[in-house]
Amino acid sequence: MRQSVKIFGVFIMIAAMFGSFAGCGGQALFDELSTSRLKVIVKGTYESNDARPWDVFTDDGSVTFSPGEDANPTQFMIDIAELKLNGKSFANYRVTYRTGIDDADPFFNGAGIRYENDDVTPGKSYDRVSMYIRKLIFDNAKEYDASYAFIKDMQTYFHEEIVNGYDFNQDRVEPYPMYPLTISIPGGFRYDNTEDETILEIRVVVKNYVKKYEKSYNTTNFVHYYKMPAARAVARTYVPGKTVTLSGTATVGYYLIAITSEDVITNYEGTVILIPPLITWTSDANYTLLNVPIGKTYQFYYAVDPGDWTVPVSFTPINKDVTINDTDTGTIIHDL
Amino acid sequence: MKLVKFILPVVFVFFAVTGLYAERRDAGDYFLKPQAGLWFGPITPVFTTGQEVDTNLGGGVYFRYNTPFKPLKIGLDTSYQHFNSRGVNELTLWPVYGSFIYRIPIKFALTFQLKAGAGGCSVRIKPDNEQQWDPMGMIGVEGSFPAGKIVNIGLRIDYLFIYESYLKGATRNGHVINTGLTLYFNMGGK
Repeated sequence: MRQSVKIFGVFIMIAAMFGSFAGCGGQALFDELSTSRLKVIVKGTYESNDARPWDVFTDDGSVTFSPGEDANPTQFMIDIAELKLNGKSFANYRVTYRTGIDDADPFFNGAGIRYENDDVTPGKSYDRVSMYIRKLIFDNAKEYDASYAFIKDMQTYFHEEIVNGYDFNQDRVEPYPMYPLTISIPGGFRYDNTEDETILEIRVVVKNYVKKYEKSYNTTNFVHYYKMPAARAVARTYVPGKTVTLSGTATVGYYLIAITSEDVITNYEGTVILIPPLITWTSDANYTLLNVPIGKTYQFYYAVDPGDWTVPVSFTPINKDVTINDTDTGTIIHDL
Repeated sequence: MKLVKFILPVVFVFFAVTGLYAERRDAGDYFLKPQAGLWFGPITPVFTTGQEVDTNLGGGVYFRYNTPFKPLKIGLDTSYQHFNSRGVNELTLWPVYGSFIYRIPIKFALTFQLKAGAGGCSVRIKPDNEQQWDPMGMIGVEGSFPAGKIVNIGLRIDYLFIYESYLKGATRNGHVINTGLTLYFNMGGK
């Protein structure tokens, strides 16, 4: 009897000990498991906001003759398998997205679409995103015979359905297939999970960066189809509530670029395919740059539309730097 | 008055079954010895936890000792439970708890036991790499039959509740159902 009581006492002590460990906890881990503090937004625009409207389409020079059946694309489709940060998977959820060639669509208006993801390991630094793209499709791809007589609309599978279009991600010519498309994060970022939210914005330039191509098909035939000539992209991060909106007056019809003082503009010039993280289009005499991180000094550049469905590869400085302090939030007027 | 009406029959049954145990003991009931055991089987996250991670296999060990009140044992359990998800999230639980195990007084080849316990649970989540101990409670049921004087073979079903919603900003708790085949060994003693 006495022994039983002793052992009973030991049991209670052990259980109480682990119960008291339990009091040490202070985080809502089950809530943390169900939420993602890192949010991924994918955009198909060169600009980080205020995207320039769709321009008229052109070809890359490989098209020797355009039959009457040729038509501009009206639909864009993308099928993404997974995203990785510095090789570490954090968003292995397949996403398919289909949109019209439409200025109002979030993929093309600068707002972006949300990509489902989990969190990444906090306290680590990341400087590149890998986007594993399964399919890239524009519709209105046409097959012609050797004398350019129309044969048929090209068809392919998208999201387990047959659609009109050509999956140009299957082209075995650089930069395709984009599996993965590796995208730099200029300056990198250190993921801090004590912030309520961190936005990872990924921009893959699709809008106004599409040309018509001609390629041989079925030995004697040709296909006319549309694709992006190169893999121009960038990624950046910001913490909502720790940003400002920069706005002011600027010349109409410019691409306006802001880079941090630690960055150099040559990172985005010449044959480099990386694009600047902060870009807006000045459709009128005003500009607005949204979600500009605080605590940095920004230098401004501009570029005119190079036309011919390409993106600027040289920039002219505007010597009106602005320093945004850690205490700044809201809107800062900064005329250029 | 209602409470008295409820308690009186319960107390009556409670003392009545104590007598039944005395009889079994006299007949050589090896089950009334201290026991050590292990279990292995599916671990299933349920409710909100089931929305985040998937079922897996887990297992654990335990030790039990008799109390002076024969139908009742006290136990100490621990187990390892790792859950993956459709994405990259992972959850690892390491519950350690004490429990009372009440043997249902039915004279039958199978032995049924009801369990309730409390303790702490180590909770680790990935990729966040956060770990802490949370308070927890459990209830469960076991059915077993003897396979000789030493070994008992059984099936156990436990529900584990890991309490976190008391924390500031927390809205969720952990919910897991363990279903396992179990072996336990009668370990001498009185």
